[in-house]
Amino acid sequence: MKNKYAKNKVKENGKLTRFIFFLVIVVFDILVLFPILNVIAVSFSSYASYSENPTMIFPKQITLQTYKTVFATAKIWTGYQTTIIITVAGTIIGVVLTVITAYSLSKPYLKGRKIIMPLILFTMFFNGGMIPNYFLIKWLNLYDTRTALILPGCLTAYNVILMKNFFESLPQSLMEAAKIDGASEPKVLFKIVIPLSKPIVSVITLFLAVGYWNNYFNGILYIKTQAKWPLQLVLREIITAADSLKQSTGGNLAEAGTAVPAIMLQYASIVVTMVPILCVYPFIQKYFEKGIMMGAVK
Amino acid sequence: MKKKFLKRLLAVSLAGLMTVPLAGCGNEDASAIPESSSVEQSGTSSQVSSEEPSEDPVDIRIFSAYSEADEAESSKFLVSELEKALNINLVRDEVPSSAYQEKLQLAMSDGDYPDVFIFNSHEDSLLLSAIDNGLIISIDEYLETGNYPNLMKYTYDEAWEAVKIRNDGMTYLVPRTTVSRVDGFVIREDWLNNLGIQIASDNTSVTKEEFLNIMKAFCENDPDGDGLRNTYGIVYTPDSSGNLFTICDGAFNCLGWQESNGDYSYMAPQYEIGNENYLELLEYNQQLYKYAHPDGIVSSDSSSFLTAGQIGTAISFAGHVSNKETEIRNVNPDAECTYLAGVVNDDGILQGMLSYPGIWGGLAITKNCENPEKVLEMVDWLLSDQAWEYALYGIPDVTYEKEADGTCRVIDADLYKSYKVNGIWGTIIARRKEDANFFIDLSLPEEQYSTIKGWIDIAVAAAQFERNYGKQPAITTDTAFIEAENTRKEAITKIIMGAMSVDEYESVLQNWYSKGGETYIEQMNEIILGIGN
Repeated sequence: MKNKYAKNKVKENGKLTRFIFFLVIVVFDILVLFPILNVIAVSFSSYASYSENPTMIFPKQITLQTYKTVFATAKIWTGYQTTIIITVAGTIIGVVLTVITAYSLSKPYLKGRKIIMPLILFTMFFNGGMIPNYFLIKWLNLYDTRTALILPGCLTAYNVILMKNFFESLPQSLMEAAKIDGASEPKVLFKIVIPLSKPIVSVITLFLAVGYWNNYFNGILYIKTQAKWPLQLVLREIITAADSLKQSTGGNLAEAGTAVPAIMLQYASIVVTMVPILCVYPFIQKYFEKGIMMGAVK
Repeated sequence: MKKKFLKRLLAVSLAGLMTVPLAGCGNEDASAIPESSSVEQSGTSSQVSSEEPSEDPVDIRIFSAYSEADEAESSKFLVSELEKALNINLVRDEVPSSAYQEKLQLAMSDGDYPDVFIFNSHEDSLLLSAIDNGLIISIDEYLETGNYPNLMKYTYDEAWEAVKIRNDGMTYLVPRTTVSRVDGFVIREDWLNNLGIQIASDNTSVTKEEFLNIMKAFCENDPDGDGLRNTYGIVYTPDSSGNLFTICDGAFNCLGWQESNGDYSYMAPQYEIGNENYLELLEYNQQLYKYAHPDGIVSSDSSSFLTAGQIGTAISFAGHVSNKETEIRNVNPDAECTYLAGVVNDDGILQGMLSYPGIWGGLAITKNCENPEKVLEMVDWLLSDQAWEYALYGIPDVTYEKEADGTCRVIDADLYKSYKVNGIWGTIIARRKEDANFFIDLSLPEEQYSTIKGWIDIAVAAAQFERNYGKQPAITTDTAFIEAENTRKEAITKIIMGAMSVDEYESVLQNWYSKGGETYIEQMNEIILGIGN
């Protein structure tokens, strides 16, 4: 009887715990979703309805005028062009380089491995800084080129370590068997290792793609021509126009003028920048969940 | 076979050698073709380079916030006329305004300097460092030997003093003029009408009591008639340091650094212990804050409160009143706005303090510039009558036409606005002092234009320069002083918000004096006494 009572108590406690966890997760979801829904709703609403309720999550007095204005801005299109180019090119180059580097480093018989790994790890913690990186790009004659936006971020220590750990977790017997059958290292890599590594490759692909898509600071550092500004830099220009004007004019209201983009224009620009990368994520979500845990745990 | 090959090789080499001088001749021929240059002048003449027009245009590279894609047609026209007039080729770096300071820092450490840097403040630390490192040259030699009548005529004398940044008597910036004036308030005229309040003075100003009563009425008497108590008089928004600042300083004769009868030759009221005017100012702002929107402290933009119909008054440049009315009408089509020039002092005088001495930064010429005099000519030409006409009105016979008596008339208001959208680049570089037309939409009907011009003229007449011309002493970089100054500003914020009594300000000021404030005042007096010497 006592045991039955104890069991029931445990069951009830379990339900209560689950309920509390459920509540916490719901609250967290609301906190995360609310700004996104608010931005989308405001971008499709009129200014009058925004003024009445700036915290709306459903659009009111729906209008597409804001989006028409956004897409009429030439620099949005050039921003898209640059960002798509650097994201696609950077992701492909980054994934290839990361796979090759990680595969090599996962082999215990690689000569110099004990020196190379610490050197790679060192770069995770120490960096030359903004000015040295700027001069490096200039000396390589990459200043004001899209290549300057692609190369610096394509091979990172974190991605290499993540992928190396995953490769090390693969059964070595498979690779040995292939080698016995006469397969070369490249063949083992492309025919056996990579097909087994879809989760981690997806993770790295997503990391790189999102990193390139969101990056604006390299655009500030290395790009001079507005036509090559990445989309995030264009967005930053639009969003911070009011603050930039206020700061640059030192509070001189006449100089600040009134040429500040409306709040809806800012929000529409955010949506326009955010949507493409959001569309990519669902396709690799399942691989992402597997891969992030596999690589991280090891 | 071998002989044939050698012969062919020799023939090809000789042919190649012969083409080299031909290419050189071709280039020389191209450069010998004179470029047509025209200078249209009327009124004040503009200095034109004495170089022969047949020479290649001089490249002038300028670092400023600029976007070719966003440049208006009128701006492009003005630039092309400038290039023709002075035989220059303007190369403009496209710098994002949101990252201007970062790009400026990079450019200055680069070594590949442009000819001109535009600084938005004559006290910019990067500018000061560049001068100390010899990157920026002084322009006194060129000002003395050259002839720049427009530059001299249309720049405030105080601005020339302010740009002697290092107090060594040398001029390091070509001042970028702004119209010196004291901004008043945009105020909801429909709310005033609903409450039966009239502003009776000739110069659209009010007394301290009247202003306080208007704020109270906006807060308590339902000026929008919706039956809800959801309106406020004004909003206090923080400055860049996150602190609130006092308004209506001029009404209490608080005009910053001015001559003093006390221990020091010059003093600012906020730093003088026991200054009755300043204590009264604090008390007044404390009373005003009771009628202010409570959310202002977390916002940086008062316009959104005004547009949403939550406040009835906001500090505003007179030229922006009609724009603000248009914005408010997006929410409330019946809204009407007018301009309130400010609050007068006990003698009925409208006055206000100006920290910036009629300049908004300026142009700094670098040591890489091979033709500094061309830069000065450029600024001078932009201030000439012809260039100013283009800057104000746009493209002749397209956006405006000139009458027989010399007055200009906008042809089509919409075209005029579309051709001037985003502003004219040339006016980022140079503008005329006390010419408020620069800020006014010249396509407005005559009556509206006259009203706005009148408001701006009142604001200009009320301006009083601080005697330090915006210069700050060396101690402002000292850590202990910075902390004391922040404490003082926080105390002002608390006093305004009612969290601290006005009487406590004196003890805060005593602390400020002990942490470098006395040195600050001494150094400031040295600066002011050194101005003009």
